[in-house]
Amino acid sequence: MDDGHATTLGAHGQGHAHAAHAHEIEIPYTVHPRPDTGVYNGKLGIWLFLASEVMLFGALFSTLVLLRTSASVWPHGWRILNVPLATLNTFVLIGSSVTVILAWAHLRLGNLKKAKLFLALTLLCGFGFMIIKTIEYMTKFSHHQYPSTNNFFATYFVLTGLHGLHVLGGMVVFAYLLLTANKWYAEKRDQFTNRVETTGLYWHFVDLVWIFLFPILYLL
Amino acid sequence: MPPQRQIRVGNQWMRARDARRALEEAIRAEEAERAEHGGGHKQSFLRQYVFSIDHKWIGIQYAVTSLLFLLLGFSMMLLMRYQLAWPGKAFPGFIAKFLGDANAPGGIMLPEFYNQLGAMHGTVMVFLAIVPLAVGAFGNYVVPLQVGAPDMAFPKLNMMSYWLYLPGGLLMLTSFLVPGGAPSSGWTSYPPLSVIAPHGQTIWIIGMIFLITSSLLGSINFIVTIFQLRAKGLTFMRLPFFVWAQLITSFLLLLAFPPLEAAAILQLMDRVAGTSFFMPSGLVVSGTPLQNAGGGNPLLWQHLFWFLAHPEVYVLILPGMGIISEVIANNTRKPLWGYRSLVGAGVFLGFMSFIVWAHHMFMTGMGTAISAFFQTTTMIISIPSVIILTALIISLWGGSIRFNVPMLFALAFLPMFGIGGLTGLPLGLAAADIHLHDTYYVIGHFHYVVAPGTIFAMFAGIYYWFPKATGRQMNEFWGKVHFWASLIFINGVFAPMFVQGLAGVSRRLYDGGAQYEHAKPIIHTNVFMSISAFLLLAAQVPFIVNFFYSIFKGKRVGHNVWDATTIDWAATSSPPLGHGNFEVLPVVYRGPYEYSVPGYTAADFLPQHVPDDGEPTVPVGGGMLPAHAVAQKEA
Amino acid sequence: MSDHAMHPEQGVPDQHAGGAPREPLGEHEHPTHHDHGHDNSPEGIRKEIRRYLMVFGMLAVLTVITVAIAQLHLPTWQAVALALVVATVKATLVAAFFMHLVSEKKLIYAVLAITVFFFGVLMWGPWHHRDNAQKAYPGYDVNASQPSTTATAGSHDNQGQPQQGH
Repeated sequence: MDDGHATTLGAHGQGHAHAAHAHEIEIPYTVHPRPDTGVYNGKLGIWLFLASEVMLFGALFSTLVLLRTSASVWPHGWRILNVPLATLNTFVLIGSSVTVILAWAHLRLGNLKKAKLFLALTLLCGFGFMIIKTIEYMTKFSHHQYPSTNNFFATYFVLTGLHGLHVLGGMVVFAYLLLTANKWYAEKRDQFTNRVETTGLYWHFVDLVWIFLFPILYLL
Repeated sequence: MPPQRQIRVGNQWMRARDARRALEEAIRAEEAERAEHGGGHKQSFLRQYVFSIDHKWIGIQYAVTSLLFLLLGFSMMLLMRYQLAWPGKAFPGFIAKFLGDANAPGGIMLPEFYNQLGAMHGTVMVFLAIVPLAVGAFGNYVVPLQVGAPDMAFPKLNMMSYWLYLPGGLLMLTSFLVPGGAPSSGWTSYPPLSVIAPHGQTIWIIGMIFLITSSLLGSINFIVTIFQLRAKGLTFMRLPFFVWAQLITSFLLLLAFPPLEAAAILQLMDRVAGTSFFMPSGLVVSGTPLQNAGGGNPLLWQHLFWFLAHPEVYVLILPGMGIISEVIANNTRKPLWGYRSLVGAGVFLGFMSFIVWAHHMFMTGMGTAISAFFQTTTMIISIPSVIILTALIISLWGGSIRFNVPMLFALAFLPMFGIGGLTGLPLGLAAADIHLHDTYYVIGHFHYVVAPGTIFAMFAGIYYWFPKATGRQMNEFWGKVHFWASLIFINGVFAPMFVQGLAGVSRRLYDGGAQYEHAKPIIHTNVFMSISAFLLLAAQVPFIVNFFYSIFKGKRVGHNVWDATTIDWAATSSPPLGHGNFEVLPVVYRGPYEYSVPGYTAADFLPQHVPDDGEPTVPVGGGMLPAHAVAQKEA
Repeated sequence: MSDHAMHPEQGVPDQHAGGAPREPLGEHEHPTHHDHGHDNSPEGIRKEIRRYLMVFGMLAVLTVITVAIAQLHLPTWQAVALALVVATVKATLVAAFFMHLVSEKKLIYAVLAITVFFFGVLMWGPWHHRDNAQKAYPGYDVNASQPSTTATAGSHDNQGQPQQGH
């Protein structure tokens, strides 16, 4: 063993032989699940992120509960918010949850065209949701109802606003996925499928938050 | 190392002079090889040094930035200590000029400016200095190496994490420049005071949102790296305790920070959109009734804030405990006592830290039932802390201790953290807390935990891993000067605080309590504390000089200078940035602290990646030489 | 390192934690990507798609139900309980099938279990503080002082007139 360096380099080629390419280091389990944990990196990552999101919205829900139970007067949401529009938005968001999971299913079936179609539909639903939300906000503003009006409106605007920001963030990612779909699908199909799955998980979570926001703010 | 003519290199003995010569030769050969391999694929300057996605460089970025913030937070404290020791005395010329007439007219500090310094000292120290140093710097640099990973799981998120931290920190500092100055409502930013405060507070909140997002990305990265990128054979019970500490810390950051982010958003809304989440009705500010809807709850902020900030305390201490464990096992040359109890205690500590937060709020009139609950959980959480400390102390028993600089800091950590921890118990009991709440006793308590506790652990870590990061060792003599001076003066600063606090001197007093009759017999200690603080600054000079001098001129050492067992020491020293960490991913065969293994006579340490028979996949680098250099020698 | 003599007390096995098994623990050498907990055959995926559409139908029905319940204007706590039950069922459907938590790995379950627990703590803490203090000190209510003519302090039944009309 006159050159331990070279020998070890040759013996195991785990992608580090060309170590000088710093940006080409291969991180293990980016695509395929690690056998003992059963998940790939992105999936664990997104679930951890969602865990932190649970705590973020949890704190806001906690705020709402505390303010509402200790307020002497708290208006009924259905009296002052637009329930039909919000119901429509619920359908839009649930629909988009279905389209994103269908996109993932079709990617696994190897049908890129359909997958892209469903991704586009998801993005469209996102747009729809945001437009309806904007209409809602504008109506409120035109009635001089602002976050500063009272704590009901304060919680309403903060909760739906933060949720809206999450929708917007998801839309940006979907747009990116859609624009780069062909390239990714051709080069790294599995990784692209994973990306759609993790983005989908995030999107379902956004949907899930809305499922609670809708009755709590609008119907009670 | 004992002064012997013969030293052990790898598995053979040779004369020290020969060994040193061989080492220099080997390092030259390695550098030549690197130049040959790396020359053709030079990265752009930006990618390599600024927006690096390499965990080692990001770790170094974090380290340097947070050390600068540490010095900044320390300087703020020095300004405050000057004022406390000699209330109303003008600052010497150049400092007065630097502070300016707005903050210190005629060189005399304004009370408002004192408050700003107080709030910013806490914020800078906790959020910009110690957490980034403990988690961002040590976690980033060491964790992937210790788990045998090529990098973090999400290198680009890692970069983003740093580039959210730095702007967030700088943004917070700009608040000194806006009208009304920096936030002055304390690092806890309690409303309603913080909501009616000048613009600096808004900047604080926005900076905070940056920092929270940064640590969120970081913590996800750490957890995924530790779960997913562990080397083959590295089971959880074989992880170095440092990695366990970082894992627990990451979970704390992941789940405790979002409520503060929510609270920050709500406070931002209160400030800029006129909502009343934290603002009760009927507030009168400077004689005028406040024009807002009211109906909010200022205690809600305290709940959301401490829901983060109590786990944050353990974020501050756990990585320190991890570093101390590594250093103690290495320098006692024996395994840690009760590794499993350490891990169990660490996990339990992390869990419990989420359900003790309201012991910061005994004085808010929560009611006895809820106080009793949080009092109980607080007493329970002291048990795992004691287990950890006890295990570390027992680890010293029967060891042949090497008193090098990292070990000195580690040894000092034990009693210092002990003092900090034990003085916390009376604060956790509601009855005692009524007297001690918001006195200097509290300041003394948590500074003992964080300053001679965590910061000493950080120093231990810096001296310990410096050779890994730079390939050179820091000067031992000046390290010892730094240690002894720091140990003496830091106690001079904080020990009298307990006495002041027991006498009832409140914290956050501009004149150190001079206006209160009950404080008069004791506040003369302020002068002693302040002089100690200035000497503490002087004690850091050897460290700063040593640090920079050693980067360029320090003694060159091999890959495994401390004869350590964990696989971070299997990686090349001063690893080229972005090189990946190991030529080959290591395979792990045993637990992390196999020192003085009975029956193993080749050396007093058995690295994790050395198989019982056959060649390790990665050079051992025992003694002073990398293994391939030994092989060359033999050939 | 003058010698390699061992210290007698270090023979205690406990000190060498994790050192017992000497060979690397067996891990699968060839991870496959068919390890999602899903049937990846085209047949299986088509079955999944049908299931997703069914879940969508159920979510739509439940949305209609919850809106319908709201039209009844039940007393507050009943309305809250019912709305939360329906929302929880919907959320469970989304989490179980869309986020395929029905067939997820233990690690994910563990992360979520911890999160759910701390979420509960977070919901309980601030509210319990207020509730507890209110019982302990009659008249304690730091924030029920919103100007109001219709309701007395401490009444939570939300039957007062809304402040803002449409």
